[in-house]
Amino acid sequence: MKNNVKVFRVHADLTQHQLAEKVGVTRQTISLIEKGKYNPTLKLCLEICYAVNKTLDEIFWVDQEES
Amino acid sequence: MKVIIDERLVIKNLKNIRFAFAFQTLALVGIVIYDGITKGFNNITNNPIWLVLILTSVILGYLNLSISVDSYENEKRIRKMPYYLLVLCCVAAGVIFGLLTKITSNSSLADSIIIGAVIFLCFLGTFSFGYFLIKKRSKDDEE
Repeated sequence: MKNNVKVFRVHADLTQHQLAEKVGVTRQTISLIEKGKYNPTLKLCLEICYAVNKTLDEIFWVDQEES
Repeated sequence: MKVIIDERLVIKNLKNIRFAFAFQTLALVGIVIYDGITKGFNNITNNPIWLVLILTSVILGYLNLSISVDSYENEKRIRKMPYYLLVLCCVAAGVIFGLLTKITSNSSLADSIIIGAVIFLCFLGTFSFGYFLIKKRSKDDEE
């Protein structure tokens, strides 16, 4: 599913590897999330939000038409 | 070996295990059938692999009961049913099977009582498990 993980990760000045280490997953998982090819659990979504200091809305909200 | 904590990989791992389980089951069924063809189908039950297959299906059945309970539509009817009625139904099943054994074969009274008791216990075990699972779920819902 489409999301803004990549945008806010770059804003937070983190590489995929650093973000992956922070949230406790592999770099490939972060890559797949950014590409919209893997839907993370709510727990992982929250971990990503904490890591980049953003809210769930900002990173994962998509309008109904877009989803 | 490193413990996998990545949720995506854990799910992938579970899918791989499911595939391996399906392959293993097919292989075991194949061995049992081959054994049946070469040594006669009456000997199938003597094979320990047969016991493994039966026990696996029993375990799978019991584990899947919680899934069935979640998707069971007539839950409210079951929830209102008193437990003693369920026990009576199981007793009835045991008695029917015991009588059928006595009537249809030349087995002794002791044999038919044993078969009736086993059927009663099997029914009681399964239905009690399902009944208390539904009770527990409905209690969780109310809380």
